[in-house]
Amino acid sequence: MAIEADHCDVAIVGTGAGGGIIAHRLAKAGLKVVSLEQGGRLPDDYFSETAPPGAKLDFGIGPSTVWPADPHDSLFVHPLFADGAHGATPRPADGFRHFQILKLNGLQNLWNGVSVRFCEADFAGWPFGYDHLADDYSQVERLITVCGTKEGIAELPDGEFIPPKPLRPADTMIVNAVKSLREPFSHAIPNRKAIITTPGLANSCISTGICTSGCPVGAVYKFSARLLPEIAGLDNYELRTNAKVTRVLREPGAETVSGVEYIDTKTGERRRLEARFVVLAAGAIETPRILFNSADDADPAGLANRTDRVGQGLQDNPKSVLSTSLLKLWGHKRTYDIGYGDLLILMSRGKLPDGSDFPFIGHAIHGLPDVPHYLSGFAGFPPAVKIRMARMMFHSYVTLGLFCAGEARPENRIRPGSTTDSDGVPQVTIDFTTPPAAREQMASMLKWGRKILRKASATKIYESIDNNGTGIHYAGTTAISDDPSAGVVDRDLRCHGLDNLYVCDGGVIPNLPDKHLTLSIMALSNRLGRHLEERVQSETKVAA
Amino acid sequence: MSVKLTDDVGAALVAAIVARSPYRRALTPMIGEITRIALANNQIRAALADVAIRSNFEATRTLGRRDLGPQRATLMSFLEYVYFASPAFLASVGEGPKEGSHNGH
Repeated sequence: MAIEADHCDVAIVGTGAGGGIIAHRLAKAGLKVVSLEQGGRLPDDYFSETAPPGAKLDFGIGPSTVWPADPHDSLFVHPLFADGAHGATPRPADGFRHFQILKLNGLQNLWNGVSVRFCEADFAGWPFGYDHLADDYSQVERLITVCGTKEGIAELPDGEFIPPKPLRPADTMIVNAVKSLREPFSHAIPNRKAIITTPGLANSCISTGICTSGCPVGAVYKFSARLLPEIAGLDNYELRTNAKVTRVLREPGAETVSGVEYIDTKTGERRRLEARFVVLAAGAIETPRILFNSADDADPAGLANRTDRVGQGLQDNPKSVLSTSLLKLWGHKRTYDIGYGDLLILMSRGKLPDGSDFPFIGHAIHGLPDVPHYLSGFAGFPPAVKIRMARMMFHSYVTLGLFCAGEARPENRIRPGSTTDSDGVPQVTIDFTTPPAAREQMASMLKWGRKILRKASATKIYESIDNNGTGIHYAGTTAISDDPSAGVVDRDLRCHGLDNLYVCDGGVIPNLPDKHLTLSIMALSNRLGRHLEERVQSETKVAA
Repeated sequence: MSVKLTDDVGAALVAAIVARSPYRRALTPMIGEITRIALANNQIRAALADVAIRSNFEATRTLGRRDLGPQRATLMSFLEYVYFASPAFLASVGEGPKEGSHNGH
């Protein structure tokens, strides 16, 4: 890795979905690149020894585990999630639940790996369509390795896949239940995930049954496990961890930025990095925070915010979750590979009271309940009966997690806050209320989920709905638009009015579709990398 | 009301509560591990501290039937959870430890 520089071609803020792909591309292309990550690097054995998935360590009990617990809330107590003293928001108890990880890879440390393309309809409101991004999707899929199957479904474009893991009996029951609906718009197909399913490699999937607790072997894509090793030794690439970017620098009123200021969180020292181009890829909540905190006399409301668009239109996918025990699997022993837990993608259309319909997507999850979240369903039974029931039902649990589109509403927004984090950096406040339509959509998804589970021999069904941050698919806060009054970045992801400041994270997605956004962020990142390569070449020719 | 619970009082109290659990036969051999996890957990440690005050446990080292009070449900749920997440129970359903892997083949 290069000696620490005070100037570079491209400063990239963040090492997650957007920051990792572009850093790799530009460093490989020979540009002088510095990645700035506000957290540290996790030890290589963190997910195998310090915080392994499931009950392997301390029965899965940590300092924050509570009793009784909502089984559907279990994903949200991981120690890696930043608290209100360290994150971008103070995380008030009754507010929007903002999840942020301040470590190399960001949220991808606990990413589920789902990698689906948006379809043409999902690009409504964008300055370009699906065809414009199709090659970038392909390049990224090959780069990160995505398993899946080609299905020919227009609403879910096919990609470049390696084979997925084989379906299990529970999956087959759900597939048959969906088929029995005889609806042309309802599908149950193998999941598409950025997982190395090819056996025999050092980072082949080891079938933990769950990816959202971190992968012990790096089978799920993340920057540090796959792409960073390819560029870490290059003279033109540098990764700075514990480097919390506080603001983008420019001469007041100038149309170009000159770099970034950051705090070395180990020493508390404030430092500067000059850059020809700055890419903010810190996430749909942290990036607006940096823009707000970059306010100067010329732009007192924040950089790139002359039309008050920064932070507006925050979205997250409304979701409905249903869990049950399938009667037909009672007493069954496991003779199959549990794989990565959620082996199915489900797609359908929900119906609303006014007669309209809407698309939704989701997963069928069948893991191993080694952490016994099922116990809340056994309340009232004597211990001896609980033991018999738990043994009989152990391999019968299925959960459906269903997501529909977000809705960009101006009142759902991020704005400068009145609090600071532990480093003294101003935080942001989130105003968010669930849109009325989302409530109807979540109810409709529950209805569909019940129908599927009952056809698959469901017993008691435990249900929950949520649209308060737990989708962890944050979008819309620095929206893309060719119209500066309607968005923050243009079709090249360049901030309106600023020649060399770019944004590449979920914030640029103007209308969050039902589908998971991560692969699209990566495709946009790949595209932005190409744009910057071409721009550097072109400007170099002119200068010569 | 919560006060600081010393580790030795906490350990003795956990042992006394495990002795009242319907799963005590399976849990007793794991008492050291259970104590460590219980004292490291925010909710359980606070519940133990409340029980210790109510029962004057530091002085008496005895636990009466009613001393668990409103913390009873939390503490018994914790122990029940440990039983069903224990290697012995998981082995009984064919899911013994296999180096973190759950590949049935």
